[in-house]
Amino acid sequence: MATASPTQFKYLDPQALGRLKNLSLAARLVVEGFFAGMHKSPHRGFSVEFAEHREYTPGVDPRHIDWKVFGRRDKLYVKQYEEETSLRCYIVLDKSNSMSYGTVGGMSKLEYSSFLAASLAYLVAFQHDAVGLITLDDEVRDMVPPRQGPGHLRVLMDRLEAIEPGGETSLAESFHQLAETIKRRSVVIIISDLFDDPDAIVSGLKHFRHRKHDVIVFQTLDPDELSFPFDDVSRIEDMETGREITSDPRAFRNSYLEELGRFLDTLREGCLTSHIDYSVAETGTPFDQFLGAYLARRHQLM
Amino acid sequence: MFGLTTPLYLVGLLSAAIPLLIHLSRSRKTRTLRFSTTRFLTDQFLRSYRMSRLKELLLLAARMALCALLAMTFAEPFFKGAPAEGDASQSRSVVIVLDDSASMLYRDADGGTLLSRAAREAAAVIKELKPSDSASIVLAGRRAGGPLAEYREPTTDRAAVENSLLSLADTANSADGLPEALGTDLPGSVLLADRMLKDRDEASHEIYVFSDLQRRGFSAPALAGESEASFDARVVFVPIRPTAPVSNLAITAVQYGAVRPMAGIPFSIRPHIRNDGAQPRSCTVSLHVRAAEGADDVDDEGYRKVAEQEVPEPIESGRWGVLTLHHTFNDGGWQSGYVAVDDERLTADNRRYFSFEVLEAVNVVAVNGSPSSIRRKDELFFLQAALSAGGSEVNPIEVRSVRVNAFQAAPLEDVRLVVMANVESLPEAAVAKLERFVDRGGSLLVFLGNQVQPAFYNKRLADPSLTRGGLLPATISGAVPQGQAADNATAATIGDFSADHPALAGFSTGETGTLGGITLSTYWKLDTATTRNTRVLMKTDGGDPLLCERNYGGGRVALFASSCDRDWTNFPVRPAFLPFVYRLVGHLAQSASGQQTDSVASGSNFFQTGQPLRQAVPVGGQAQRLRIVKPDRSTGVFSVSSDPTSREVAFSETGQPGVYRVEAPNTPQAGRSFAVNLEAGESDLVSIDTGEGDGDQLREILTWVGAERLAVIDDATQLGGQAGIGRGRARLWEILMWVVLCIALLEPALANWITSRHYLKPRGEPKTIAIPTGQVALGGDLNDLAVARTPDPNPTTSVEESETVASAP
Repeated sequence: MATASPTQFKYLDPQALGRLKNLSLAARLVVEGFFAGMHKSPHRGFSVEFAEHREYTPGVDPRHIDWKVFGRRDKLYVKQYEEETSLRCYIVLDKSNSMSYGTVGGMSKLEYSSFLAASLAYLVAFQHDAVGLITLDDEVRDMVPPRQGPGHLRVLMDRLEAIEPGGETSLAESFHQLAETIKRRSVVIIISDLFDDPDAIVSGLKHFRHRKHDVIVFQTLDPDELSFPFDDVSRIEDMETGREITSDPRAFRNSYLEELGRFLDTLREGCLTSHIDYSVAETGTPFDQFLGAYLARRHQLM
Repeated sequence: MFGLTTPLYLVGLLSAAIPLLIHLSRSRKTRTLRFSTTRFLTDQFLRSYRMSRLKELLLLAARMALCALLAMTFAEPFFKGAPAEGDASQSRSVVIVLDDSASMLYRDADGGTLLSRAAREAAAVIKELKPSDSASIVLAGRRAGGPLAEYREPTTDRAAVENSLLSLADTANSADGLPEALGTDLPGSVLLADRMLKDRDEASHEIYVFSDLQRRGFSAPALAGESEASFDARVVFVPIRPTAPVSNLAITAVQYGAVRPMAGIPFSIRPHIRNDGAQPRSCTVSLHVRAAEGADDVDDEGYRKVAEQEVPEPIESGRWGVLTLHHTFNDGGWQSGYVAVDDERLTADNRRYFSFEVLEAVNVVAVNGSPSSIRRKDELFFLQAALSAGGSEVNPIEVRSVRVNAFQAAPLEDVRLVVMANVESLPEAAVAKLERFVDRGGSLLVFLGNQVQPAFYNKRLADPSLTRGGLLPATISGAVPQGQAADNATAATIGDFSADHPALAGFSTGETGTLGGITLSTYWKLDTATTRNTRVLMKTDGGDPLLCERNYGGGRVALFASSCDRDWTNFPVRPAFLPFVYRLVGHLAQSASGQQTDSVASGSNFFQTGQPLRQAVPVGGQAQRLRIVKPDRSTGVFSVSSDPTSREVAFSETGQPGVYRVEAPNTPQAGRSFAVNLEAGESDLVSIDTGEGDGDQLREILTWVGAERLAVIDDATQLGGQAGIGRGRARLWEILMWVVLCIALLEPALANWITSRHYLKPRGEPKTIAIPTGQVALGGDLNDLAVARTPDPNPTTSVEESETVASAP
């Protein structure tokens, strides 16, 4: 049985999915497409823990009646179980203004990131793990604690669809704050363009590592941001700060690319030394393809 | 003081806008991009960019300066220094402006002329020059071709200049012949001198003007447009004034009894004598007339004194005295002569020449359009009666009446005037004959009447397409005349008339009666709209032209709108008719020589020195044959005017006063002469007000010289102190040219420096960022966890997955 090949997702290009405007459906399509034809997931690591007793009412499966309690109390009680997950996953989504930039098929980085987040949430939920969502810009804006189950997934999808871009990127502080907030060891997936001071970001990420979290960083960047193909732009306005710079277009480009290279190098090296899984998600790449490739590689490493 | 030689080139300054426009048009294309972040555009980048902007502006400024300075260079700016302290050691270029006009021939108390003294003083200035200095002479007399420069450019041959001045001093003293120029043009001469100095390299440019500074010498009007900016020499005026109080008598004008004398009739000549001296003087005036060849008692020029008279009482200083001389010309034809006053100091203005054609008899041919056997009913009855008043012995006018059909055969050789009275129409040949007659100097007087066919008159005699626009001065409008002859109602009376016309002047003064009481029952309405050069001499009370006149070739044509008998008007039986007809016929007969109106006075033979003589050329005549004999008996030729349609010749060598005779055998012009007299102003020896060393009036007139470059030195011995004061202009354009050259050389280097820094470098292959691939490395304990959790249940899948990854783009 062959694994999923990228050609199978050709109908699921970001534009097509974008048109669906329904994250849960999109995510399902991506993830199920990804797992289509694979063996059924083994559902390992699940345990059933007793939660409480509840009085029996007719219609409840008599299998769960606790006969020992009946013997002691002469009353019918059923056992309530709490399903326990082995994996707690936080998806941290940057919704700052810079994320609203986008040129590929009219899709912004935030939309791309949202699809990515939705797909990941679906994927985690698909494995019966708990998934939560945190959105932030210059501070933590919204926090959905990780839970399990299809209902929760729907909540996450609704939250994702409702995200409006706004605020400046000030990630490092939020990272420190989150690292302190999340008590239990978790997988933290950060989706952001990371347009902040790279050293501060690396230090924030290291804080997660210090708290023994597993950190995955998806840096979403627009192709324009990577190549700066503008030859006729003489003034640039910053989407976040409103700062305006006037210059010669060619002078812009040279300086921009040099600085960008330095920025990315700092991030990559910082992540590498801290054992942080760091990937650049170029929004020009269909995200299902990106996700597939990423998961395959991760899977291979595991 | 800064100035520009050719300010027109300043238009080129606009070219400085070209680099600016290019720069702005490039800057206009600003596109603003809203971009996710500007964090990668660092302050350092912005600083370097601002520097580059600064450099670009520097380049722009350099280019604009290049264009502007180039335009400035073409405009040839210069710097004129203020006159410096006299420094005789620096190199000098000197132009002597010598006033050689008639007034400079005034004999001073020592017997020498002012011109002679001026030339000697000028020679002394030249003597002071160093060998390297240059000099030239400009003669300031008014000449047809402007002031005369002895040397086109200042020469270093000082000895030649000095000798030429000294020889001029000698000839001026002998005063045998008058100099060629008799008026003065000092401003023009100073300007010419400045032009001559303009290109000289000497440090000091000096102009010395030796003149009596006659007020009249500054009247040249053509220099109003001169500006101070273009003038840069030092001008020193050296007034040459008589040492003793001035004494001068001059005949400034002569009134003659008539335009043209008649042979055998005493002719009055009234000279006006002006005393320009300081003291009252009496004097004797004499009349001289050209004598026949070989006669006795003639002077050098061939004139004989015929009358002499003393002024009754001494003429006060600055006043005129008038006396009347009489002379009877016995012969007809062209006669000339002069009136002279005895005065020794300034002889040039002692004579006024005259020239007349003396009329022996005037033959008039009258074409009778409505003859009648009853004398009183004859169309010409009243005209003939008026012209023959007094009998043929005293009356030189002789009228011969012809019928319309006989006119063609009538001889016109000795005829001065043709009268057409109520002529219905003329055959083509007769019209041609009439045109030829008037063109060659005859005159035509036309009376209208009931026989007249307007169509014939308008088409054949007054159409603009005809030669010289047809004979008549007006067309006849309407097919029927104004008013009706039958009911004898008064259609009009005489309204305005030209009071300064010889034929009508008497009516304005009352000398010949009045035109009141004259009524017109009928007249043709005349239209002068399409005819050229028509003078309306008389109008009806309603404003319609009644009497019109115009020149046609060498002659004149007059047109009267009504009849010359009693059919249409009571004019013939009024007292005014006789003087009217007599003067009109006399005027037309006398004006037959065809003087153009731009002469000194219309119809006269009097000209000023330097004024060109003009002569109309008959159609088919030969202009080249008109030779002219000047007063000194040398000859010249009339030259054809540059305007071919004017059909006239002109003679401009009229520098000498005297009588000019036309020598053209077998033409109507044979024996014709013109009198040319000195400009009256030359007699006025009053010099211009030079102020007390300030040259007030002088500076007012010569504003374009500039007050600080003008000096008046009364004492010629002080002229040495003026040496080296004049400073030439410093040519700034040479410096500017160097600046332009430097900028032009630097500009490419500057441009290259800027573009290589900011444009060329990024033009290489677009730099792209290698996308860092996700470096998958989990934390140590998580790795362990992962390994523990997934003990690789299906190796086959792993292999397949890795292949998939490998093939994924």
